[in-house]
Amino acid sequence: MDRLAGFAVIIFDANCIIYHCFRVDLKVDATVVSVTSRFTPHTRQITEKLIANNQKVTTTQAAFDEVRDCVFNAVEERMSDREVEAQLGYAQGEKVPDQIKLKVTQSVEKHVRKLQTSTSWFYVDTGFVPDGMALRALKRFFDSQSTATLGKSKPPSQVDMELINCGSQRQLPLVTNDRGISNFAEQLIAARLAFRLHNLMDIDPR
Amino acid sequence: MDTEASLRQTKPLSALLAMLSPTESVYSYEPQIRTYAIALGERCTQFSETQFLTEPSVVSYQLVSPSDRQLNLYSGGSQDLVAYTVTGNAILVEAKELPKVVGYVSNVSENAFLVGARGQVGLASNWGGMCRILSWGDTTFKWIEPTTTILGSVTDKLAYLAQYENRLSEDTVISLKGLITNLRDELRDWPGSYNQLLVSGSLDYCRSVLAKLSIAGSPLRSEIIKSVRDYYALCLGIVQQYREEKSTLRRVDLQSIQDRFDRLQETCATHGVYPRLEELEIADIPRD
Repeated sequence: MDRLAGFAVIIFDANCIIYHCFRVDLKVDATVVSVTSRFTPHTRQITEKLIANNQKVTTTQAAFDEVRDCVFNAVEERMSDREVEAQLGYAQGEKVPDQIKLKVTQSVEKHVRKLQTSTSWFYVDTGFVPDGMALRALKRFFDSQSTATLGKSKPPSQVDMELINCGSQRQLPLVTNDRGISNFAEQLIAARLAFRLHNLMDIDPR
Repeated sequence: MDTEASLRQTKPLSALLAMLSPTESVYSYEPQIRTYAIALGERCTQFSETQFLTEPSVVSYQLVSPSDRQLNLYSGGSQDLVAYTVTGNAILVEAKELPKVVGYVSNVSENAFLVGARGQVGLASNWGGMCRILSWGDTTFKWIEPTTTILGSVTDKLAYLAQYENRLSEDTVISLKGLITNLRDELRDWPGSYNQLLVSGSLDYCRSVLAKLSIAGSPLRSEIIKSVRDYYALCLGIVQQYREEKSTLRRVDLQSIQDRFDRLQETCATHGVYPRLEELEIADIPRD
């Protein structure tokens, strides 16, 4: 948490916000199964620490606008996991019904949207205007990277680059779970295209 | 309307039905209580489009040259068809200045009907609010017993009417469930997005609603089946619209679908048939 200390506000990408909210209780016979993302416990530890330190979390409007499909991806990935299928009582080869996936997706999305209205520690940075020149420079930077350096990650999207630029303009750290961004932290900072970039899983919540 | 009596002659249709492949047969089971106007052309061997009329409206059809052997929709011009209200929700569509055509619409099964014109017949299915021609061959006339009321036909013009009976039987539920399953399964192969899940997940919900209806009767069974059927038709429209450009579904505003789905959930929950998605438990979902 030291990496985030001293900053009144921390920028999260959409996935980090979703991980915080991804916890849905499903009743299976007489028991209740909590379906969470793999990153939810870790993310919650971080956000709880930030809240305790009176630090706030924000994201860009563009990232928040993507929440719906990001929730879909997170839920789809998790609900296709054999571990979750088994927890919900589905045998090998049996898929979780689409209606349950929809229920979980809508529940997580509702939680994310509720953060905006019912918490004091999260807000959407609606005033942020991305810098066109900086975005072009970011695009040139990522286009120049070989696919090998990106590993399994997709090339950063326009929304990702806006988040990096938001951190740079606001001089705030950006937390992302995307290695396609965080792996380039040093180079981006050296090129003055980013302020601070941290991978979610590299942050020790203690 | 004088020709109506002659249309009521009875002959078996098994030969025509046998011509259909199993896949086509699947599509021939869609219950509807709707009125359709079908335009038939003397030389046409297939429809490029048919139109579903929900209220009195003006539609236009054009017969193209015999070599094209196709019937197309067009707007304006001297060959406009004018629609008149005949009864309640029935519509008569009459052609102006079109070639002489003799044809009929009749019922071949609970959910499919036969259309024909001058020695040609085809089996059309009433498929999710759209009329779809499954087979159109140069066969001899197949007269069948019309169990469905033929509201009117116009000889030498271009108009046929059929109103389907309200038969919400067990077969109806089973066949509708089959259609819903097919559509849901098709959507599962589309590029993943929230919208794709909204449609496939809500159809999956509808499927469970129908399964529950099969298990326990409800005094409002007909109302719920109608709601599910209408919702299915709405989803089918979306699927048909984006089938050629599947990836664009992600960007479409489906708030109207969500609103309709919310209302459907409300209806089912209020009548104790099936809980709202929010209150749904794994045990509520009927297993196949």
